[in-house]
Amino acid sequence: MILGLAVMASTAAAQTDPVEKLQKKVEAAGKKISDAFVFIPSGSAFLISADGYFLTNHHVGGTMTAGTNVSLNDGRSFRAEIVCTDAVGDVCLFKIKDAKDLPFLEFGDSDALEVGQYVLAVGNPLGLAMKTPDKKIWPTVSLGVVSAMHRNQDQYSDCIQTDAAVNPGNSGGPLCTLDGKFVGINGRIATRYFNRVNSGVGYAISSKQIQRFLPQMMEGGIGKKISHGQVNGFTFDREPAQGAGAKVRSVDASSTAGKAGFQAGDVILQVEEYKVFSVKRFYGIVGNWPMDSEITVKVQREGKEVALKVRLDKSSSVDILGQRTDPTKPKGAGYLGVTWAGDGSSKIQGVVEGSPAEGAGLLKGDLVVKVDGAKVTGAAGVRERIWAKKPGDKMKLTIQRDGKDQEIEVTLGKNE
Amino acid sequence: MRRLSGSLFILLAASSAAFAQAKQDEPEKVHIRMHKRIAPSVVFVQGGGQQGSGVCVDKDGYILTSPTACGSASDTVTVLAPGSKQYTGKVIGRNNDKELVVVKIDATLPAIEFADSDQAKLGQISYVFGDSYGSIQNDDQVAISLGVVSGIYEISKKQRGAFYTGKVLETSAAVNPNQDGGPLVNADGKLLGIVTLNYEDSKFTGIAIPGNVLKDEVLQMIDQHKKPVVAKVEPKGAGWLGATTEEVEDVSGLKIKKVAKGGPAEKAGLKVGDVIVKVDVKWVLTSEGFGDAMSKFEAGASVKLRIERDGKEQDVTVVLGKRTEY
Amino acid sequence: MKNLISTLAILAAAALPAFAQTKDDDRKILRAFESKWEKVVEKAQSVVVTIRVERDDTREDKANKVNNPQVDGGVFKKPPDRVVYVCADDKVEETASGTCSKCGGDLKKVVRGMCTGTILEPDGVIGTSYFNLKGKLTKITVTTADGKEHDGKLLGYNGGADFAVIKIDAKNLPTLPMADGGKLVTGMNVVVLGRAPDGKGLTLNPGILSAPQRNMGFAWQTDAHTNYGNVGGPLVDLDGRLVGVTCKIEAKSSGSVGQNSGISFAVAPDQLAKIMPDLKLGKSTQNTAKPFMGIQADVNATDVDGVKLADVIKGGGAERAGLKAGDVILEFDGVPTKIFDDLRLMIEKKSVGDQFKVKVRRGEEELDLTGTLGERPAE
Repeated sequence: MILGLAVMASTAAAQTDPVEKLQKKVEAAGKKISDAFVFIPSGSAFLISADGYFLTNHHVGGTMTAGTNVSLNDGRSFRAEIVCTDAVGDVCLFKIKDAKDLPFLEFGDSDALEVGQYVLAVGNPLGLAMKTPDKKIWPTVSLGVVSAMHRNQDQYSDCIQTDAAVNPGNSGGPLCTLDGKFVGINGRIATRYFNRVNSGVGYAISSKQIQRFLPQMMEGGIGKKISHGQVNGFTFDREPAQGAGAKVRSVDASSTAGKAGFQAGDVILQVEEYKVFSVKRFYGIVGNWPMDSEITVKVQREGKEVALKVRLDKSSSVDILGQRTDPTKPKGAGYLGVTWAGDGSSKIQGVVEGSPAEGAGLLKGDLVVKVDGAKVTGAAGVRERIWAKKPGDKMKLTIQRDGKDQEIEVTLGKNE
Repeated sequence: MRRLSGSLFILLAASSAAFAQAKQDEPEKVHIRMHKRIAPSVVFVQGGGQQGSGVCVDKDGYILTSPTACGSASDTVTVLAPGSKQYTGKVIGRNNDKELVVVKIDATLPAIEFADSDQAKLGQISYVFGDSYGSIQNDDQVAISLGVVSGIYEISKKQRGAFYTGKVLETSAAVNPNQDGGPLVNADGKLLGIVTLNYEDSKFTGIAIPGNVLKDEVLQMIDQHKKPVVAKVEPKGAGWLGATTEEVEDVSGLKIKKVAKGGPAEKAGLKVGDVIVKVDVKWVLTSEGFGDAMSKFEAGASVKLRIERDGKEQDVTVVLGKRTEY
Repeated sequence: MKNLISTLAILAAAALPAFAQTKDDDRKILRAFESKWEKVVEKAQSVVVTIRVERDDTREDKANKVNNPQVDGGVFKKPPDRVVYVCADDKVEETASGTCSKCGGDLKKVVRGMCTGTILEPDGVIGTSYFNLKGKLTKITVTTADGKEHDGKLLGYNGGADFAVIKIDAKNLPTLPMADGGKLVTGMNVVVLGRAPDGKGLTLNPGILSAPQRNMGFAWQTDAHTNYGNVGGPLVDLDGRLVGVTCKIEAKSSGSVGQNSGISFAVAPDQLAKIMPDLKLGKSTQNTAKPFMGIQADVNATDVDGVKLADVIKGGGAERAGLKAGDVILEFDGVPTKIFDDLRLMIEKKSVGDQFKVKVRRGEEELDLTGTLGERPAE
């Protein structure tokens, strides 16, 4: 009895100061994040693996096609090269050559963030960090809260808003929770009256979005690039939905939306686990999946809920550097000679007579699963890889036929 | 059995203390909970060519906002409440010099209470809630920024299309376009002030008009709107106070000019010079308001009046009589 | 059995409140923060002083013209100075030029400014940002927390640290204990104190320490807001100790820190100790030399994949290295320079006397040139 009371009393007395507690957490997290921080010219970056993969923004590193020198906060320098870049999502994946045992940040769950939660931004605003006499380089650490989530800011279609101080130069750096896990990449700030400094509004690309793209990016995407997805073939009602959803006005029967089974009058309620309350929110959610991904969309139709699966087309949006991503075939690109099943999958529907595909022995019904060793999940992905090559280039296709995998090599031709 | 109950006691004591400890150990979660409390009361407003934020101060759908957020002469205002619910609101009261607009919408929303802004001190927590660059309008997100009351001072210049000059509360919390008209909230979750965008261009510091500047007038407007103004003529049988009152400049309330000998006011202890500030639950500022408030009470009814005497406030209960003076 | 049940009942009753997170629990946590900041104000308010200066300087201030088109041309006016017109009596101010309406005397245009300073020593040594005291000062008046006005004299300044020392005639002024520089850590809570815009009362802006050894090793960086109003005031920890004197506000707000940007600086305790002795003796240092390549970038050039040079400055490192106007710098020290900012940041990271390498395109040719960085001429 007495012992129990004593335990209660002592625990009550040991209540520590919440300010001290928070400060200790901030100090510890700041140090952990700084150790995994990467100094890259004109921006910030951070390691996500011990063998040297690191992330930054496309607008920081995406044009460093010849590679770059980077430094860590202990003063060590390394050579790094682009692995793959996402020009629309503004995410760029690099790898440090021949590295191991490097400190790195773990992925946090950005969907589990709550508005009002403390977050830390670490970066190198205005390039202020310089080697100090003890040969260390110190990134800038700033503290704030999550101001809002799932914000649709054009290319940053589902981003985190924070009031932690983020300035030019912070781009590419991590936004982290106080356990040192990263939940976003800082990439954008809202500025006022032409003053390019922070005014309390920073936008970060969510870690959830990055996770969806990372596997393909680590494989190099298509020619070190990766594309976002969209659903072609909808028009929407522009009346305010009062939070009810996105009402479909018309559907083009031959489009991706049509083939997936959407109908005029459908009200889109949900995409995967995210609720849709407006047309803009629908675009915002769909905007952070890679091309070819298959997503589930719930619609309201005549009083009932219907779940539809749709495979995303290639997005035709403007990328972060202002260039429109072109969903059409570039001039002088290679040619294979197949038509694809209309559901967006990489199943061959037909083989063109006299084409390189016919010559190589591809057949109707073949399902293309890999191109040059890289996994593909849809027709758009195969198409992209064909267009990345020139007539005369060789391409290795791994196909599934009659339940077995087979490798077929084809030399691409010219398309008149 | 005794030993078992003893150890059980220790176990439960330790675990409940641990739970209490764990709760107290979450300074991170405190702002999350504050956001959950306050956000349902914050709206986006649009009118008269302007856009901004507003906050519900009475659950029957009364929104307090600013002319810089919804227009300086607008009669109707579009209001977007959490959940993307859109309403057309009616302006039921306005004082542009105080950047005060009260809008009524046909809906119930959780309301936020006024704090006593005179008690504001440097270093006190102050949150800003509102539509930050379209966060409510486009993304159904009431944005929160965290800061403290960073300054309490007077401003004398009107800038950026603002109307108000006078005492302001400065906050270190981020304030951005479209957050004008929105609430500055203290650690009690109460309304410290309304954000104004009247700040120096290059400073970007958030400032708010103190709640005490707005409170009386706002509550008055809402009251008046809820109960339509009654004719000045006292209905027969109405209760009689037995005191003559007048509005005095610089005095918020009705000053007693004369007390009828032997009347209910004299009996209750009211004196000449007393200032009546509240009748029952209604704050009173004008003769009209006072007459309206008093007309609700019949002869014989007990009315609680709050008065100010010698700088101190006190409550006085008067039993109204039947008018004998004609 | 009855004993056990009643014991459990008592425990349940006692434990129940522990499981319900109430507004009171939250209030307690927020109150813990508030009381810390309120205590800082209590401890530190008496070391914050208001500094009023008068300037009589006819240099043109180009920076101000850009930021504020209404500025009175022809007079050096550090924002947010006011231009006033004063007669010989000095007791009358008018806001239009001409003669004084009260005494008929001539009116003189005078620039007045108000800023913040920090009492550093009890016998009247005041520290502030050098930015506050630039230009030809004709008068310095320091108002201490007790309301007394003192004439101030500028003793010395360090332009690189952006720190200056004023002396007033006073004794037993309040000071703050210095923080232990060795114990300062990124993430620590700090607070910036300054004068309120109307000259009465204080402003308080909280934040954390963001990085050490910034500004050539002179300053700690913090995300607490600094601006024209509060720069020169104290940076204080939650125990009321002096962590630094704020500095390095810049008038430009694009491509530099501006105001309230979340990038703020304060001269660190060990640096204050290092530079103060010379300043008190009147030995001032202008700028510590900044590295200078000697080029003028053509910022209007479009469709160029490097930094096009509008001009090469005579006698500079670039001229000596053989660069010419019209050249396009493609790489600096092996790093691609797509835009001017890339080049500028790399130059700033080096020191006077350092070697540099550039890859340059001139017409159809690509050249590799080397040179040495010189010193940036004083502004």
